[in-house]
Amino acid sequence: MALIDTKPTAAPKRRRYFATLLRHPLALAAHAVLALAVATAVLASVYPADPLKQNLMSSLMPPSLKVDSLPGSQAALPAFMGTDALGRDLMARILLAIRISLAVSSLAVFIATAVGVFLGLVAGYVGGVLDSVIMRIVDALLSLPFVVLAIAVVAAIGPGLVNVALVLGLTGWVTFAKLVRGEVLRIKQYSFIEAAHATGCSGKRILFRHILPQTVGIILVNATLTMGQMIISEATLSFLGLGVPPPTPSLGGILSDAQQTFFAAWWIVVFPGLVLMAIILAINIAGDFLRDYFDPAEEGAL
Amino acid sequence: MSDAAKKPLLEVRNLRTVIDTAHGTFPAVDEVSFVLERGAVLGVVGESGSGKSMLALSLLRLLPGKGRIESGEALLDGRNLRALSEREMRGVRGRRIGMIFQEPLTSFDPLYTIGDQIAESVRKHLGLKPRQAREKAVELLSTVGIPRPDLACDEYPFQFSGGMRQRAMIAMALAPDPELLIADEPTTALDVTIQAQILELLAKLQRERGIAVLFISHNLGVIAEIADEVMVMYGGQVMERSEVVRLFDAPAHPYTQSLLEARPALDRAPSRLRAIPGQVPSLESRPAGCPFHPRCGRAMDICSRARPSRSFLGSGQEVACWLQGAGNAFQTHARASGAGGES
Amino acid sequence: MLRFFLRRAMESLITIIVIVSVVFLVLNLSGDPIRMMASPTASAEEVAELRAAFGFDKPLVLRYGDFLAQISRLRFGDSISTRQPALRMVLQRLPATLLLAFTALAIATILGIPLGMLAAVRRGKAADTAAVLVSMMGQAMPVFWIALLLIFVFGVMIPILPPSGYGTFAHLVLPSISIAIFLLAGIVRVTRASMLEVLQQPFVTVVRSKGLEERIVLFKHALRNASIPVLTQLTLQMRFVIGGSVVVESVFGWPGVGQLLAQAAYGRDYPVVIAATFFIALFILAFSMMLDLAYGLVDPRVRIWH
Repeated sequence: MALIDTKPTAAPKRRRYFATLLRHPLALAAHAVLALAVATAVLASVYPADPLKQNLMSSLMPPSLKVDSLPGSQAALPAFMGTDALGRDLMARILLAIRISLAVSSLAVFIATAVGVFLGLVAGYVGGVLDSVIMRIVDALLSLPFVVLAIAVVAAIGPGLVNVALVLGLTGWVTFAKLVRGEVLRIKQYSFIEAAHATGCSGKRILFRHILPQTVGIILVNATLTMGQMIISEATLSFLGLGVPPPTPSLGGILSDAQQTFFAAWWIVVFPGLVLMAIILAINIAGDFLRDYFDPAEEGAL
Repeated sequence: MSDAAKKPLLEVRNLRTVIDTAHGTFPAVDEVSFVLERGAVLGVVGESGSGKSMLALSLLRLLPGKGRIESGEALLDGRNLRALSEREMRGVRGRRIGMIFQEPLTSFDPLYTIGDQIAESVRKHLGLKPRQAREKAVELLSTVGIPRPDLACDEYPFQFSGGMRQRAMIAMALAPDPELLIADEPTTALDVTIQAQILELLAKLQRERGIAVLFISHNLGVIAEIADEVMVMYGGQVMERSEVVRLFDAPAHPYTQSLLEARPALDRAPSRLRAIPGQVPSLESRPAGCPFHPRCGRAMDICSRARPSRSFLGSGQEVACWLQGAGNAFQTHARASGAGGES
Repeated sequence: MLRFFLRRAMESLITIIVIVSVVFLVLNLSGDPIRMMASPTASAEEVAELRAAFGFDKPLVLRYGDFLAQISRLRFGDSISTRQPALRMVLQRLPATLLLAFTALAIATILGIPLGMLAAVRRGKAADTAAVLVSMMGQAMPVFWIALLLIFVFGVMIPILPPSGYGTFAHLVLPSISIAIFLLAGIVRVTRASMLEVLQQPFVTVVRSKGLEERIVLFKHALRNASIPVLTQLTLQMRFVIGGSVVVESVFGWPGVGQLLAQAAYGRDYPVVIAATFFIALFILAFSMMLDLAYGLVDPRVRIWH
């Protein structure tokens, strides 16, 4: 196996990734959706309508393509997705909510990855009591529903933009720890690790220079799939009023507000949900693709 | 042989089974013809990938997903198996043609008892009640030499040893009293001592019951023990067919000759033990002409261009090789078309 | 078998201790809970009184000891908002959650297994593609959105089912379907994959070579073998059922533990949060032990070896 000798340079590897991607139209579409979502998140504030400006005159306007359908807007712009009960432009709110959702989830995934990978590396490499303790905690937390755990932690530190990311990150690390520990145990058996020991490499050096790079693939795959879970969880917490506090728009929050009015306004229920579904679907497909890409056993062609 | 008034038990004519792959359609069984009389044992020998298992599965019409029979026919008592409905075919499987598979471990459903798996086929084909079916299963297990068959009947496959499992497999295949038994590498997965026992058991049951057997193996030695006739397959095609003794004494095809030389034997010095150079071509890379020509020491120009037809050498020996000369080939064509025209 | 069961019970106990400990630690390390609990206008005396009442005036280690001792006797304390025992509040609401969870699980299993089988048997055909696409969509739709859409369609557009409430069979329909859709997606996916794998196995060809009907091949042999990974999946799925029920109960006003937990978290009602988390964990562990028994029924190797 190509464990020691192949350290391919980044460029051909990336080219191979795109070449593989081109052969999988569904995965390609998923990447396109994700690129669009990221672009939306970055450019959300460019959209001329104000996501926070209330205007009771234009409360619950249905989606329209007429330019004057959004009275009081500084820009002459149709309310493509209609307005909510407070007369706020739904399109502008959803665009900003995508930014919030992706930002919170990315931060959460980052925290989860950092904590999980570190604990997984330590548990796998050091072993012994430390390993048992960490893995007991991992197994225990894995037996609880993610949302329940997150809610319990929110109860402790309270809702809020950064808090949500913290809560999700601090509850989402377990799968990383479990996966990375398994990988470390597997890699530890290989001879090049023994060779590194024999040549006097320090434990820390072996761990971070030799073992960690081998686990990048599964970490990346898990991070992608976790991202989807984080987006759902952020939306769920916000929906329950335990996440991003109003008036900051979040996809879950918009849907929660929609409960009050949806007998009269279907659009407030449909659009944010569709956006959520599209993003999560794209992430799941991209994650499956990444897993096949990194796991030669799955495709056999690498 | 086909001139006899009585129809042979199994007659296969120009059977061609193909597999559809991403790169095209390739023949796994290529124009195979043979006759198997009642109570006779025909050995089929060949390396893995020679199409012998596909031949067996074609006869039962149990080809895996991408495989299909493209042309030719298989006549069981004169009835073309290809023309049967799926329902009629189920009446043939198990009841008329029993099959023994290579891997005794994976050939049983791990979740049901051995007795249940024997009984389910008896119940279907012989219409027995559950209790009678169980008695029959116990009786069969005892016939194949399983100790305490009444207890063994209620045990699960994982509680059996490999040899016991293969005995149970034989009992299962024989349960509805088929006239033809297809044994696909029945001893390959077993230890050598167990192999001999199983082979002996098969030979004994074959004699007692007068059952015809199509015995598939990659091992010529095993074939020699049990078969009356041998058919040598390579690349999906029949290279040579003859009586067992004759095949060993006077192999006509270069491939058969190399197979015999590659076989370890006590009466020969180890230095003469030779492997056949090269390897079996994969399904998708079969050469044109005679499939063996790239590995054949005596290949001629024509071997890579055209496929040799069957030549009959007398005493029932037939061979598909250009070395047998044009005259023989001509004769073969005449015989073959004559046989085809009479049905 | 008994020893195996005792070992699993031991593990479950440790798991529960770890869970409540983690929740306890998080609650206690994240600042002063009493300060947040007390109303902003409370006097210093009132705060001190609260502190003493909940034992927050002692050091952390002592409090942890007390906490475990109390929990082991199922004493979770009184709810901060209602002043009722948290244990009683949770137990009162447990039946509603169990009813919802098992109904959803039953719907998803009864529909999901045949659909997964159908997809596997028709591999690559239209039915298969449809099943794969639907299950991908089902797994990408947040449960609360499914719930809202169902209310919108069957409660508002075609008002044939009550959009919220508890008590009659009709009230059960929409909440349980909301959870079941997500579950169904997972069960279809696993059944299909596991069925495809089983159908590749040699023994399936052997059963066919005996001339048995495809009905027996599929339902007696293939399905039973394929159900082993599906059982594993169900253990995992129970977490999603409960996770989903927290949200769905809130949407439909279903008086279960999930809704209680969400409300308690919103109101920072720690005793209730801990009690609810405890019983959710207990239920999930009990369910997975039950499934371990089911393994033994399906698979003789488990039954005889343990």
